Amino acid sequence: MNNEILIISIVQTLILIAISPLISGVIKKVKAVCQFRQGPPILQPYYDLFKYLKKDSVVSSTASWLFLAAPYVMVAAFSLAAFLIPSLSYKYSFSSMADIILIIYLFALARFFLTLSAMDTASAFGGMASSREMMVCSISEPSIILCFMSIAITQKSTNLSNIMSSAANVQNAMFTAENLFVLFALFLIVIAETGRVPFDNPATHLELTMIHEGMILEYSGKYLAMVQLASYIKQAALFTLIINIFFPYYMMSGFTAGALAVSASAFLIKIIIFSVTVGVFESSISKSRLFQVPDLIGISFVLALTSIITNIVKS
Amino acid sequence: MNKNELLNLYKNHIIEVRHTTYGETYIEVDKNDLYEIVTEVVSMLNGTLMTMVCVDELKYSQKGVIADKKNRYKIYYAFRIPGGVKHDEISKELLVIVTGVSEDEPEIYSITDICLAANWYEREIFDMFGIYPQNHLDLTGLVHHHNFPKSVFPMRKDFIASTQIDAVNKIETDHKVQGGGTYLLPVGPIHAGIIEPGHFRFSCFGEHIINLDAQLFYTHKGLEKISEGMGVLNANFISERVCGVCSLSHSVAYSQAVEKINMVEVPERARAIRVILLELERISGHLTDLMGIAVDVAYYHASNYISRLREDVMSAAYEVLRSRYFRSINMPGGLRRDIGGDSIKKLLNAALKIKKEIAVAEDMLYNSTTFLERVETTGRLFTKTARAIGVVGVGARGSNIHCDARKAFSYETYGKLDFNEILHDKLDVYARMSVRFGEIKESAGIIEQSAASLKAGPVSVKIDRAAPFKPAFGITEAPKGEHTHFIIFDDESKIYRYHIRSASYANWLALTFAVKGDIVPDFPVINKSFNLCYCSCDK
Repeated sequence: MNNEILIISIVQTLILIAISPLISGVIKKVKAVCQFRQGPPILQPYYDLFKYLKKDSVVSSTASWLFLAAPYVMVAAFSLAAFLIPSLSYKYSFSSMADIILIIYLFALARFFLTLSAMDTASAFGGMASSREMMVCSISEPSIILCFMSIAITQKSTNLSNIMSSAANVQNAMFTAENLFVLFALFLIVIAETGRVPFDNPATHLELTMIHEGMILEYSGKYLAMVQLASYIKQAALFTLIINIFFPYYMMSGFTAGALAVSASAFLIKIIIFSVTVGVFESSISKSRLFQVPDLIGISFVLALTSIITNIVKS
Repeated sequence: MNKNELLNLYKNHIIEVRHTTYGETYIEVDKNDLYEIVTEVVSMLNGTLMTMVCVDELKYSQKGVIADKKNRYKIYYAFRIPGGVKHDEISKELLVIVTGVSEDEPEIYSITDICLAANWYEREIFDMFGIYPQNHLDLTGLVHHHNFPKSVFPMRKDFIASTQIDAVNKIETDHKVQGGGTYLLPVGPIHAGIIEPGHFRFSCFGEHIINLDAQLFYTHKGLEKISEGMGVLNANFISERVCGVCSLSHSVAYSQAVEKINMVEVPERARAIRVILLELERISGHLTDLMGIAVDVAYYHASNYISRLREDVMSAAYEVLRSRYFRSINMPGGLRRDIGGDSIKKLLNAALKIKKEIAVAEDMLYNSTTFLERVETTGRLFTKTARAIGVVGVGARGSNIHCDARKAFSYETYGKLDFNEILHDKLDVYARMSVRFGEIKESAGIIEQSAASLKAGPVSVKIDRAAPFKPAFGITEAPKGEHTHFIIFDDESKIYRYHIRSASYANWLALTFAVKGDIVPDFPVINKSFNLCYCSCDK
């Protein structure tokens, strides 16, 4: 049994990391179509990563070891999160070892190092972007904790495997009022955490408006590849969290090749549908004013709180 | 008080008054009386400073036209005078005050305290001619940065254009803000996007902008210097290349000045075609700006739609003129070649198509709450400030000021056409956006009228010589605002002095006022709403 868990866990982690750039490719393509453009190929993020690997890295002479260490920390933290989040199977997963709080703070660890590294080079934009990132995360973190508190109340656990299995075993368990509140709250948080419109604009060239892009402005070559890969994995992990908590359908229940194929293709379809949704959502609105960002996350916070209250009232 | 009363009142101080047939009155006064007369013009006649031009008359003197070392430099202060007494009435004429400055004592008394618009002009004259404006509010280097030697004055006649200049070692000084929580944010001159070089220093308190210093003029092209000695037609090529997107407006402004000097009547057909092309250039320019505003708030859905509309205009222009930027068609005296009926029809169809499809773009922008939330109340330029710094074009009209050279000077056939000047009183990015949408529709209307009344006939008169030592201004309303070209020819019909004041040159100062109190991430969209050009300042 332990071997099976190990094999499936590694397989699902590798699949998640392998398809993570694809998600960005799909979102970019959907946005391009919404913008009356042909857009880059869906596989462009992969080409970019390989291109960055071939390039030299330029590192500011004022940068310390922290600047070079941050990409490793980020990739490690997000990969570990990807390892703990069940993407294909909650049954054969190590997530019973870790609960959701650990995953949230693995993300926080990576962010901590990224903001430090952005300030390390003493570039004007790095410091500015770091302070904005901290502003956003200081309000998004309580909100994401509340979301999972609400889920934990419904499913009686903070353990991802337990949450997913109890959600999967009851028909339409997640389509109750309190869970839909959480779904929308989490969706907003995921958009904010992945640095997308209306919180941040991943496609911008305007340094003064940047948040995430501003922090990685000084990275180049293989370090940039690692930072990019890290943010792709983060995005894939967050998307997986949402789709597998709320739509845990066709997940692997037996240790067979057939079950693996079914769950992998179901996962792929679910995540592409989710990516298309994000792409369309992003195209339909413009970026909000920086000081409006707390209000938007505030909506998510209030939704999560409403959900908790609903839960308490029901029980 | 009107102009004649003023002239009467000061007739003892005025050395010479010269009226022209083309609505420009030149008043020559002594340097010491200048400040007083300018005060009167600004306060009593409600004049707005349009441009200031310095002319080095060194070679004049050698040829014996004015053999006067005491008046080696002439400074022209051009004021737009409203038709009535009120500010809002459309200006009809140009009042040019001329004063001489001696070689031994190259100093003038700064007028910046009564007329803030003079700020940049006086600094440029100080950099280029070494004429020191006493009592200037902020005399940091404008065209010349800190590393340019202080004793080199490139626009003086005795400076050879090919001279190599070595950079000097000098520490940059700048305005500082002090106090807890304030910091200086330097941006540029190299940016993440592909845009022109400009160095911005934001003094911030958190995200709020307290002060903005903009250092431009990184890619000085020396157009004014190299055009000296060029013939009438050769300099037309220079004028087309002052700026990429306003090629035609610059060229028409130049042509107008030459036509005024020679008192040439341009054929009716040429003028009507000029109007059609100028309005298409305006549509194309405004669409670019609207697209830029949408891009800067990450509303790509709309920006790409508008971008496609603009491409339609440029494609039509390419089909007819073989130039997407309306180049190589205009020249002093008319057009370089006639455009046939089919071509006119193509241009008209392009304009009509825009008129129809712009409604979709309007719908996208005006009905998106997230977009409106970004542009409303952002970057407000108050009417009083705008008037004081002499803002032109959409920047002025968005701040509820009448400023449209097409109405004010009714050049070409604009006097006979029926169109409205679009004003807006909201003062913000939204106002400037709305003005642009309104003007695109008006422009399409103008093209329709012009195309309908187009008659066959010649399209040019020959101009190969120009009257010597006669100054004239050519003024056009480009998409970015009012372009002002000033020309003097010498006695061999070569350019003696060519001064270009682009709309952006007059508007850059407005940006530093408009961003005050706004937040740093809103700067790009405010900047885009004025659509300021770097390269037309680097003349």
